[in-house]
Amino acid sequence: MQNSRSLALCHYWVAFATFLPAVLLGAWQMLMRSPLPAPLDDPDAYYASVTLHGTVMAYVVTTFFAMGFGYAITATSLGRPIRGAAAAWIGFVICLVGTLMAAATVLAGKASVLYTFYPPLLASAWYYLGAFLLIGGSMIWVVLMVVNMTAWKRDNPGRPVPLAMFAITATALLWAWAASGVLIELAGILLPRAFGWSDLIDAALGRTLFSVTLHSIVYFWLMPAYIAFYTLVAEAAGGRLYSDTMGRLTFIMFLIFSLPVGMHHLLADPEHGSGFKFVQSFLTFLVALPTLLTVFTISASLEIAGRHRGGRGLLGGSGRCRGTSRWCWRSACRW
Amino acid sequence: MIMAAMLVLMMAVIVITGVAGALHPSSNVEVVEPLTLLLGGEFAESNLGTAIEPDGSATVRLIGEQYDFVPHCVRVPAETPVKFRLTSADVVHGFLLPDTNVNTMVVPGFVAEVRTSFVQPGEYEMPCHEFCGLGHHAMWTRVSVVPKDQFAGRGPLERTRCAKQ
Repeated sequence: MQNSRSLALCHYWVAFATFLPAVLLGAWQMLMRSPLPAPLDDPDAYYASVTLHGTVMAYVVTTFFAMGFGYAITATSLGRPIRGAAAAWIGFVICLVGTLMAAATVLAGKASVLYTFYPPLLASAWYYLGAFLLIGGSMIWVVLMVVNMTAWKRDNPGRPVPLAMFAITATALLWAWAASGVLIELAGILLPRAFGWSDLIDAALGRTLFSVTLHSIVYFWLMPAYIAFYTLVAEAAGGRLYSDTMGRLTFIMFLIFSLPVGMHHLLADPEHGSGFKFVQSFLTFLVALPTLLTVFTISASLEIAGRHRGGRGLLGGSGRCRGTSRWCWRSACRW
Repeated sequence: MIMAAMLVLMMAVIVITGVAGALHPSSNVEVVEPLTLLLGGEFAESNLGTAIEPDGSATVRLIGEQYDFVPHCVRVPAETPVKFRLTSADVVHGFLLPDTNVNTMVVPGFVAEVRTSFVQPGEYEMPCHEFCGLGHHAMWTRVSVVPKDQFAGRGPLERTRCAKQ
């Protein structure tokens, strides 16, 4: 278990150590764009900063946090050490090398193309290679989540997989699908061009591939928060989860509906027809379903906790809100 | 019940704003060869700017390139159907006229077509709204909308372009 714990902690350390400087860069960028005086007013530095800020926030923090969270969830919810810890450490090193490679290239001013790449803009091959290692390395984590879940199922026939493990596996599969767009774009379009093996870039194809990843990154960092809501919050508040099935349904729905969701970033593009855009708009909209299910389930779970603590009447559960939340805090601290 | 009502309400808002604002983004999926744009055809330099069609409507052809739209300023008549046809000679740009329904990406290899009609004469500032490189923040263009009767009285060059020569 000690190994599993340090695995999770090391991932968190990278996530938060990079998060802080990225926040400061964001604050400086805001000053640059505002009428307030900014410490350094230079467009080259500005776009390098925006690229680093985006790369860290969208890829580094997200990936390392979700991976660390996944290892922690696996060890705690299954109650046993992680299978394949050696592979997990290798994945950690690959992702870290990719991060440093990308960050160094951006800091050297060789990759001011923003984290969304915007081909045919072209950055140094080192930046693309770094991004590829970071995102590709996280696929080891995806495989490990699936391996750990199936191994537990095999050892515990007939028992349902704990909700937290079920949810983190859905998250891993969601990321595998979502990351496929940017990985194909990097390997098929940007890296060959940056290495000089090809001399033209298909901008529309690049945009379309990236759209697969673009919006789903949001779900990659949202899912760990949802897992915490479903599995930790209700318990910390002193109640129980209103419905385990709702939770599982939510994560399956997110996995399915996250597939086409990035397309809505291309609604103003000339390379897709209106029929395709129309269908994709409705598919995008379906994400509202698991979101509303979650709002309902979590509110109901907290109401159960509120009533359990003596709330009465129509709004009793939430009416005793102040008392309840004080209790929540105390329980959360104890936890 | 509440959930279904919320979903219906949200969908209704999307449809109503889309229809009322006449939002019809470029979806014409029309390809063009970006490497030979200026050598001839629709986007040859002499063809850029505003052209008045036989039916009285206006067609504006523009090329986006790092870091300007060509021509830098176009003049169009008010209260007239205007069709913008845009493409890029290099990277992805964005074309947006504030307070109108005009908003499209300009992707190399494709012609983006958007239709509008200006009610108010005036100068419409047009910042490029998709990151296109280190000079992106300085990429501005103007669309000058003049009253319909004044437009017809101008000379041919003045009708189509308004950048200072």
